Amino acid sequence: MIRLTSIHKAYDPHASGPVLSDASLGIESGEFVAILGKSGSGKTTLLNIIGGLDRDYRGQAVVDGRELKRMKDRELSRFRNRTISFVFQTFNLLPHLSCEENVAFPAYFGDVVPHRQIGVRAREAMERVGIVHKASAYPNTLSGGERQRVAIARAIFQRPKILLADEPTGNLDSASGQHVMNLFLELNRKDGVTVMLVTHDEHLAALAHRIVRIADGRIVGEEKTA
Amino acid sequence: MRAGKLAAVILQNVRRNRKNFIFSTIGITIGVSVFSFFIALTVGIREEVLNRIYPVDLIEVEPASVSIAGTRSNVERIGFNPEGVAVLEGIEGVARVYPKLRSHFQATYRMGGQLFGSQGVTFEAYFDGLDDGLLRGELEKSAGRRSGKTMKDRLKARYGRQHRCYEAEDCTPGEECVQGLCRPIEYGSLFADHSEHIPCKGEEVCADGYGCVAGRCLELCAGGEECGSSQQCFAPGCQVDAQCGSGQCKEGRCTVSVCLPSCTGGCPAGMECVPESCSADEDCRDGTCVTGRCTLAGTCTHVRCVQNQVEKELMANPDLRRGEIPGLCEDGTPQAANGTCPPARCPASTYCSVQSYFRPGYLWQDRRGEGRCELPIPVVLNPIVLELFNMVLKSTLERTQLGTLDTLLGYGGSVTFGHSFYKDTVKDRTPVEKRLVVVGYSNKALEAGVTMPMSFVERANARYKGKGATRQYDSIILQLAGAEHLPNVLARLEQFNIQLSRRSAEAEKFRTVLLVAIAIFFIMASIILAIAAINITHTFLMVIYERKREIGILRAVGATKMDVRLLFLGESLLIGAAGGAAGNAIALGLSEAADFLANRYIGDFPFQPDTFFHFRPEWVAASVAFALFFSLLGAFFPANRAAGMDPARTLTLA
Repeated sequence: MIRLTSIHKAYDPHASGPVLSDASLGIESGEFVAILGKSGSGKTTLLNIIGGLDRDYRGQAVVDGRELKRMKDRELSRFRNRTISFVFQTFNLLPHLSCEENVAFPAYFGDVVPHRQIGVRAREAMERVGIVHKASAYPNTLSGGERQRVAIARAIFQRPKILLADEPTGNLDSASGQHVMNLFLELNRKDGVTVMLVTHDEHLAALAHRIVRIADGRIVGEEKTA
Repeated sequence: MRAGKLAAVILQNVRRNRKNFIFSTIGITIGVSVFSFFIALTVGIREEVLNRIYPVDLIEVEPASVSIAGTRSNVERIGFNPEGVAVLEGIEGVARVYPKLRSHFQATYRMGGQLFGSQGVTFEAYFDGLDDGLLRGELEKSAGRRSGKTMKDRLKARYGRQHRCYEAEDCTPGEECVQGLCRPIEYGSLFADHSEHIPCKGEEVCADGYGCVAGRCLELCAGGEECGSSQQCFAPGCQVDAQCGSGQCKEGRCTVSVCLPSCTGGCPAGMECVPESCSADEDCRDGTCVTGRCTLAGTCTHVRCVQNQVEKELMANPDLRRGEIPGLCEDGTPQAANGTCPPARCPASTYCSVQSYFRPGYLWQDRRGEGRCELPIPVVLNPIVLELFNMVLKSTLERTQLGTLDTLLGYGGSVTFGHSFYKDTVKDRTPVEKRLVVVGYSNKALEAGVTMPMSFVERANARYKGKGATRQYDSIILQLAGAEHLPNVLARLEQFNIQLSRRSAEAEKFRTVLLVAIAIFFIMASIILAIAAINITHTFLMVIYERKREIGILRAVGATKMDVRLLFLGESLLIGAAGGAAGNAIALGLSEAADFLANRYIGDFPFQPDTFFHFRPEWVAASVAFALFFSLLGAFFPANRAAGMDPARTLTLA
């Protein structure tokens, strides 16, 4: 599903070192992989490259059978709209839209969901994450856990193949964090969504099928969990 | 991204950023309002004022002349005569050609007491002639305005004051008696040629196309239908060749035919039917009695009359109406003891135009003489006359100010052909006094005089300056098929060595000035809009900085660069549309206020339009287009910057 080969990325050539260096990784369809590393180790950069948000790198990134660098902006946007989705640490909800509107927002940029089905699908996604009762609320009225659940609902609204989660529990208390992790596990198990979780938390990483350790931009180890 | 979805997201963003939206719109609104207001004012002045003075599709040309050793001579390559008119009619883009003929002999006006005091005033007369076709539309418009400026006034005039009548005298001035009811006189329709009686002994005094037949100048015809609906082409009876003008008398009939009104269907006002049989010339009114039959039998001729005390009074004071002179009947005879009078000789709408005076040389002291009943000559005034009256004569004669041009409609006056306060060059011709009636006003009319139907001036010029004076026009008015033909027509005129008249040349200058004004306003508005565009750029850059995380989210959920670009450009289009609409609304409001203030504080003046502003759809559309253009221009750079943002950075660094 995901194959990274010798990925090299540097933000500033005069900086101390590259953000990613010779990173190679393979993730199969339906896998739940945790990328574990300290802050600044290159985890998020790796995620952005896989998500097609960052194209300024060397090496080869093939996702769902497509070489990301060769895709034009329109194709890449379509890929982000249909194949993958993101869950961020800071939720990244649009404050001027209601929760339901936030969840359905990807529908504006694609035609995966028929126009008449948008509302139904949005509510389904919110029900799945247990936030449907907040459908008409605005993000600033929700707790951190609720916001993240809305963000996850948005991520699964288009029924993507791959879900990229960047420190999704970083701003949550432990109970909310556990709840969010349970959602990811359920999506992975029931829907077969490939989940790639970026975290610095060993305990959370242990919930994944496989842990990929990253340090100073290099993949330093991989291990299967029990 | 589909248009509907794009619009939905744009509207979401506008709703969220109302303050920024309004702030960005203000500059565009100001620019558009300045643009629309001044363009509407310039176009309004051009169309509502200037075009009424100098119509855009009319140009007047004159013979070009050069001065050689102090002597001016004409250098045009075509004559200002009927042949030249035919050449000008052939120029592409020229719809109609109207020759203009000025009076070529001396005359004096005598205008009435209501305007100039009880004695009236007499002054040197200048007049010219124009085809009624050129003025018809304008006169009909003025007839519609004569009763007031508002629809209420017009309805009141048309329906509110109707009352029963038996004759015109039962109605108030400005009304006529039609089918027993007083109705406003449609003065505009009166500007037409009413043939007058011109006695002659030879061809010289008859205008071109006329012949001295049966002792008077009559229009020649070839037997066809060129005489018009109410006239017939008639070969008069005769005894001798002299009665047939340039023709001959053969077997008691002239070999030339003339146009004469037919008795069939009744004769026009002031005319009577010449009977068939006669025993003496007097029985025939006009013409002669030849072997018991009138030579002009079956045609209408002007009723003979004697200008008596009443006519003298009426001539001296045209504001008086027949029958209003105390103690005198309409024909001048003293009233009977019971106040009754015999029937008048001339019908009410006509007057006795004297052909020969009892005491020549004492014209103003005693104007009694023999003449013919005729309708007054319809004349058109230039609106500038009102201004001259109000500016000059009002104060010197201590008269009240004339409010509108309509107040002059129906006013009478008289003109004496062949009389002058200056050197008299027509001593050998008998002065003739004619009555005038003002039937309308037009900017094409002579500024310092009156304009009559062309045929009157042709005949009068021939009568006092000879036949040749009718063939040489003083200027020619060209009606263009459209203003766009002007450059082509001017180029052709240059080839003919024909120059624009002073009026048309002035009009060209005014139009140039207005074009420059439009250009200045255009530049002013463009500068304001450019500043507004810079403001939009600044605002959008600020907005994009504030929304860079949002831009990252858009990109993360599938928005393309073009989607992001279109979102911002769409917002700017909304700003442009809102600014364009608001700007035009403000301009419209300001124009209404300006019109209101002008009406309230400036008052009536010649050429005063109902509004000084003319919001033409194409200019309104142009102003909105400018607003959209400058808004897009302002948003273009920020939109591109937003589209080019690295989504990964915006999501992680923000």
